[in-house]
Amino acid sequence: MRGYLVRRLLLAVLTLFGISLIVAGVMRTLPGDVVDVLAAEAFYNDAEKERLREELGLEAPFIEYFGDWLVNALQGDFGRALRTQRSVGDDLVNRIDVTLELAFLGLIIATVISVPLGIVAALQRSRWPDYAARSIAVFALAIPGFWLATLAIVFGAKWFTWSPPLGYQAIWEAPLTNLQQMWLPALLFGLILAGVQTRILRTALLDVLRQDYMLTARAKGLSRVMLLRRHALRNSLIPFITVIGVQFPVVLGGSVVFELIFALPGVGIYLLDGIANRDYIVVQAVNVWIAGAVILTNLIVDVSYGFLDPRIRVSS
Amino acid sequence: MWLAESYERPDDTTWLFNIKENAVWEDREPVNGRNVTAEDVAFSFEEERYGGYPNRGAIQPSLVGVDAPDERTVRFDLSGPLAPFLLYLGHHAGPYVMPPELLVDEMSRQTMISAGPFLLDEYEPGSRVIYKRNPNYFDAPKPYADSLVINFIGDNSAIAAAFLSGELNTTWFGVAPPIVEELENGIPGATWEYQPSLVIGGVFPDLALEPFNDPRVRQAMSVAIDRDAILTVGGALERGQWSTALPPLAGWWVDPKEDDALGEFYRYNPEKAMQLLDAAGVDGLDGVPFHTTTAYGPIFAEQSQVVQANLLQVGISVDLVVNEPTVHYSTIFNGSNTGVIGHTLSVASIEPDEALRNVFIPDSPRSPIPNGELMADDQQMLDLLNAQRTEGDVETRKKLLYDLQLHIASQMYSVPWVNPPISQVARPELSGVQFIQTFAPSPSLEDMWFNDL
Repeated sequence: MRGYLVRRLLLAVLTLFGISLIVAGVMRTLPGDVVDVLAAEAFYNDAEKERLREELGLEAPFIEYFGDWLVNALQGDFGRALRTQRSVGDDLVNRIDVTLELAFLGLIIATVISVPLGIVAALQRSRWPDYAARSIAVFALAIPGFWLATLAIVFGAKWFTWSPPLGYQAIWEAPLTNLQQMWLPALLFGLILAGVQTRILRTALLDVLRQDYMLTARAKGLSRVMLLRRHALRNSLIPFITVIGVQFPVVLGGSVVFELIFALPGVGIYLLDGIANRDYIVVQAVNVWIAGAVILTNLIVDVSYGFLDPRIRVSS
Repeated sequence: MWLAESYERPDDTTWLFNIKENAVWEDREPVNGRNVTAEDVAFSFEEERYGGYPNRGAIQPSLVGVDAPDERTVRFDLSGPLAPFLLYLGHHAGPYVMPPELLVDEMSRQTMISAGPFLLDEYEPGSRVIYKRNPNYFDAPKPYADSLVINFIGDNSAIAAAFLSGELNTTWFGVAPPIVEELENGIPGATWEYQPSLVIGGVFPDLALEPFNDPRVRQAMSVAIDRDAILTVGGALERGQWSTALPPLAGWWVDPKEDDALGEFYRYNPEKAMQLLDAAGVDGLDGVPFHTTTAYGPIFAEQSQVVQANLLQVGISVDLVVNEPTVHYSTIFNGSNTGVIGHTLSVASIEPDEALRNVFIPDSPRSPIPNGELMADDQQMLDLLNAQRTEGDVETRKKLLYDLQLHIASQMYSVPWVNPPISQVARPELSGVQFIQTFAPSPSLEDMWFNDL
């Protein structure tokens, strides 16, 4: 296990390096830079733009720029945002909790919705509960998140004179306000995510229910509940957990829509602004963070296989 | 201007200001509540420091020197009379007064020090700014509000929802026309303010690109465009206006719908457009690159399609290119993309001198006109630009500005755009509060301090 983890961590470092290099390179190839954005507001002339580019280090050769960034990043210093001159590390820390909270709540709600729906659909295959559950899943898969969020926020205000409080409050600072702010975006996010999870769980369960050992267990006289809990559900969890792991990067990326509509100052909006402003420093830092989170999640998912199914050994 | 107790102008090129005795910076490092001095003001205007910043250039070309003869007196020496001098002092084109201490260790990039009615309390990037009342404000007991919270909301529906539910007391800018109706009906007693827009914008052909180097072709484009149809796309026909070389909010803008001489250059008239094109020897054009953007919201790009259809009616076929904001700002917005027609908004401006100089001074870094240096041959325009800037008599300046609008229309260096109004809505509890987009000293700004509450 230890050797496996060391190998995965080394691979993670290489992956992070590769992602940083690719993102830095791609950002450089995009037309325009942060000085163009600043100039649009302040109207610098060519000489002034040149001076600003030098001051911000944009004139340095790519290798030199990337090398400096890498050395600083390895020491935990992600630099200052080109546009705002604020510490990117501090800004990220302030925003990560918003996005993580939205992502975790969304995934929890998705699981709470999808597990019963998936079970009902599988056990009642080709009957009306199955059709109903599958319809809900397809609806969740098909509906665009921004549209659902817009409807919810507009009709919430129109019918109930209610919208989430503005100005994000961390859960440890003001739990009640935080929940008032987060429940609606998390619920909608969870509903969207539940579509895939429901379908995967249904398919996995149906697959398990057809196995011979299920027939044996039933012949032994196990109750339907025990059968489901001990044998069917546990054996269906591997594809289900895999999907949640795969969904995590989607959740981090997809949260931007909910952050925008619900005015939540998360990492998604930070990245979007960074790209629009051609703020290479911000974009690189956010991408490294997202990549790190994805690698970590996948590692956790892989390790969890061993606990879910003792036949799987991570060393193999 | 608010800092001044009084001012005098001993001659056309000298201004003396007395700083209010009780004006103090806020009570924290590095100023610790010390007095605002004339030295602070002189420092902020110091030519060397701001000489390299064209965005502070409205006064700069006329500024010979600023000094502080004593602790409370500031003296400005100008190279010649400057008609909008007082206005420039108080709006965004002038330097912001700040204490010199803020330049130590580049502190000005990290913090904000105020002597005004509100102090920065909290800044959450991408979320909100909270200002708190300045207890030592020199014009006490103002401000009457304890705090001012400005929320950044990126979605129109979310703005409307927050307003309907009472999370927002007022909104400024950015409420799309379809949502206006919902808000109007949703809150009994809400008050609405519509203001003319201060944005200049238009269709900017490359002045060196054939056949657009011919003023007749540019005039043809102008009368081929149905400006009211464009306003309809934005849902703002009722209150929308047409720009000339000046935006509607600028002083002495003349409404082309009301003025026959100017109207000739702007009223929708495809037959006249065809005649002008014939006279210029143009018999249809194909594949002209026409660049627009999503930088100003989806409606802007839709309006570009109306222009595309209008031009096609008179035989000019343009290929629409929609640029994302940063590409737009680095090319079309500053006129650096030659060989194309650009469609953009430009600098917000209320002072006619600033509005005109931004766009029509041949070497202006702010102008969206490609190859704008070709305007250097237009001595009549340059003389008029200079004359209005230095003319102190209001009526004479007004006449000069009318002549300028007419002259620029005849040359049609840019084909001016339409201006949907800016709307602001306030809930009943803020009745009477009005944001004025002048960026200038104005008694109306005091309404921001909730006098009526």
